[in-house]
Amino acid sequence: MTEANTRVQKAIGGDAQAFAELYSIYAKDLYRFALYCLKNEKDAQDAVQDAVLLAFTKIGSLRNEAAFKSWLFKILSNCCKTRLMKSSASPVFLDISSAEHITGDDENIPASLKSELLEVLDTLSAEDREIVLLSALAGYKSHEIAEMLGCPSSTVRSRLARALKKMREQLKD
Amino acid sequence: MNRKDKAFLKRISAELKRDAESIVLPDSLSTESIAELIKNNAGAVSPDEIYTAAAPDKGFKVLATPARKVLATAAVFVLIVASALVYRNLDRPVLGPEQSSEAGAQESGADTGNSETDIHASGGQTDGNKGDSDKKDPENKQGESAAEKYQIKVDGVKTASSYDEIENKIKKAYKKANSPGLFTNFFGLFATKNAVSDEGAPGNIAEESRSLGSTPGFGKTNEQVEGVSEADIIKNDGRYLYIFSNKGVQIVDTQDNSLKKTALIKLNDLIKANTSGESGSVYSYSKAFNDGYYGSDVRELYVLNNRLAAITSIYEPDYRENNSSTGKSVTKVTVFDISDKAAPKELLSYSQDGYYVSSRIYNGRLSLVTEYGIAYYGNDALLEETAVPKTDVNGASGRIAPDSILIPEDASTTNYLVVGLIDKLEKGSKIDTKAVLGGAANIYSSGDNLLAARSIYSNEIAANIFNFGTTSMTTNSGKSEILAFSLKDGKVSLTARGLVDGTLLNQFSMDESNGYYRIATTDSKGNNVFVLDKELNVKGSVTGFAPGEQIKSVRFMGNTAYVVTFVQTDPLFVIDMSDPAKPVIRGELKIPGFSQYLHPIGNNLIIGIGRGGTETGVNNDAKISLFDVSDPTTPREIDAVSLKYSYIDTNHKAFLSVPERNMYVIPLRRALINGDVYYRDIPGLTAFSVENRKIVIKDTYTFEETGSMIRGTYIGNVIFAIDPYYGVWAVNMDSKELIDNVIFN
Repeated sequence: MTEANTRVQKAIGGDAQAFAELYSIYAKDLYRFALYCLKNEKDAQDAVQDAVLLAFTKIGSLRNEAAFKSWLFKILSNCCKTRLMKSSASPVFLDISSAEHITGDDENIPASLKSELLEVLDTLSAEDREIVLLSALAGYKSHEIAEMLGCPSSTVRSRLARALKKMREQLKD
Repeated sequence: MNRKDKAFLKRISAELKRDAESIVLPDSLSTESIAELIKNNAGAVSPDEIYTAAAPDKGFKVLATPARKVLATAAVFVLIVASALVYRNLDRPVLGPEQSSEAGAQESGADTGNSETDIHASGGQTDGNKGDSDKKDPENKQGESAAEKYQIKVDGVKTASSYDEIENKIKKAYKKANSPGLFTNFFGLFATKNAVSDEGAPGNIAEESRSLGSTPGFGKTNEQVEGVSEADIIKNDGRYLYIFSNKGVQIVDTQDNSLKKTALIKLNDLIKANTSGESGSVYSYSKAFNDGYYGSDVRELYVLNNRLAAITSIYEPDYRENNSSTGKSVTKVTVFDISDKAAPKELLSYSQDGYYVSSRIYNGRLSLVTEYGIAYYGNDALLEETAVPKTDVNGASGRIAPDSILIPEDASTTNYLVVGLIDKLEKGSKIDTKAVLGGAANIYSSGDNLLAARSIYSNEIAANIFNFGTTSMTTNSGKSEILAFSLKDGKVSLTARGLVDGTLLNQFSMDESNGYYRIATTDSKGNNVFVLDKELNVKGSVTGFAPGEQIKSVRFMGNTAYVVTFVQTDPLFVIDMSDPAKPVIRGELKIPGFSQYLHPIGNNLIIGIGRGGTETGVNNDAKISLFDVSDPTTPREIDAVSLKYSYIDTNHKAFLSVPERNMYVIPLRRALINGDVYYRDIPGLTAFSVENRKIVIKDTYTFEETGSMIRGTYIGNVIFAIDPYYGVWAVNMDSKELIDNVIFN
């Protein structure tokens, strides 16, 4: 039995440390994915924590280590979706005092700010963005994405192609 | 995936990953922290809580675990109203949160489930499997008898004499090309890079002719041509809002200062009826589809005179081909009688093969345009099924008859442009459909007509595409084929065919005025505006201006054309079109950034919205410009507001005019910045007016945590902010108070 499968066995047995070690392999990817979906750090952290807790609770249904990654991402994806749909009931009206009439200044845009690529990503629908992120950022194949999202892989492929085309056109500006 | 997509995917992967490198895993998500979290909380979270938090009838739930803070559920909102006329670098104090008097009503999630009626699209399912019998039967299933064969009288275009003729043509072209993989690009090789959707089209608002009389004004879709309706994701009839959410069409009653969900036409029911009966194909819906989440990414509707027409487009995979993703898109229109808003009744459903390109309603007639890709891959048996697009009327499906298939000379054989016309939004309406070989197009309509413009490339470039799978399409050395259709008397007829240099940006690149068509294009030599007569012969033109730049927005207004081109700075060109034989550039203005939407407001002023920029290119700011074009030889930008790190939805339909308040409302997404650090995006609506030749930002309504861009509409003095994925908020524009909101479940 491989070490990984041992870990899965242990995790199923309720071993939190073993589970955490399994999680740690994907921790960065999970957080990044959540961050790109939800676009703020706090929500991303919460979503990952939700997903992890839920996964641990449900780990009895997992059969092998190989399935762990896509299974965990599927749970995270659902948590992100739920978060997006749930959000807040109340609108918050904020000041836009930083709107200003053009002075012609050449602003130094902070590095931590979104690039044009990320902005273009935002113009996609939530579903399409998710598919692009799973493919481009997390590197999943379309059949893996299909499994995670619960739809036919040809659907994933056609949606991905359409989304890429749309992005490509915008980035040609 | 084709080569272009693969390369692009690789490029953005690299960029995203590089970007992600800088993201640091927070301590709370380290292995140790997670181990602690699990030890402390396992069992405290039940799967049901997470999955049902957004379920209907449960209002809102908050996951409270010891490991994290509990979120308050009281509705709080903070409202800032910008009140100064012009402000530069003002340091505005931020008001603190106020408890709304609506807080109590908020708690229940405003879900009045009882009054909601679920509608099941009744589709009238017959055994739709007519595929085989069609082979021998050339009749158009929509009722055209063999005796009334469609006659075409346009040079260079003929109708097909048989299905065999079409199949042979496709096979021949395929052999010649001899590159199997290329036909898998669903949108076809000859589709122009700009062809497929109307999204992001700059606005060309028809003159507002509503009277400011006693009935309260309400928001109307900003359409390109007055009297020609365009589909949108939200509609407003002055009392009810119709919103196409990812669950379906939500009908919301706004009377009596409250929002009440009146009915829901489920997306599931709209799209399920599409998929039965295709012989041989195996198609199964997964749970996700049934949940409506991935059902249809096309969701638009029309609401006119107690009729609602919903447009959806789904992808039907065909699992017979094991090694490629074959399948087709099918686009459907479902028409409902909404005399009783609580109980919409389905009158008719019509679908045609192909992915949705556009649609219009004029004089009660609905035209639907799709692009259908032919699946071949050298498989003759497959081609028999896919060579010709199918249509489906109330469950009865069949192939389009050969004499309704138009074959232009030199047409590409990978796609069809399909034009369907529903004569009346009534049960039993006659429906006519024609399919033209060749790819997708930009669509323009000014009445009982349709103009379709699609890219074609020279044979040389075509050969390159076939052999190498790529072409330098950025050189735009292609031409555009223009097809003119008449929609009179409920029949689709091709009336003319023309050719112009260059490719079009979107629907606003075309215009009709005084019997002439005007078309703006970009090609490798520069930018052009052509004037064509009704037979699509070029009458006059101005060509090759702003070489190396691309058109960003176009606006034809009477005798003047305004064209925005861009590479680094935005020249706004003013073109005099008063002599059809001699369009002339009168003036030009260079400014940073570019406008994607031009909106004339009278007094020779034009509002432009789009992106800000510097001398070297575009930046992350959104920008609202005000142009004075009173002297065509010197257009001037007399004011501009730059909104840092923001994004405006420049889809022309998203631009809302509120003439009673001399106000315009645009969807604006702001970035919340703390010094140098980007925190998050906040979508919202920004209202502004033009006063004394200055742009004055009036109110901004922002919504903390919805993910999507917000759309706005209004009735009387109430503005409705709509997130089609989430719900609606109603705000009193005078008192700025939140009146009510509903959540879609």
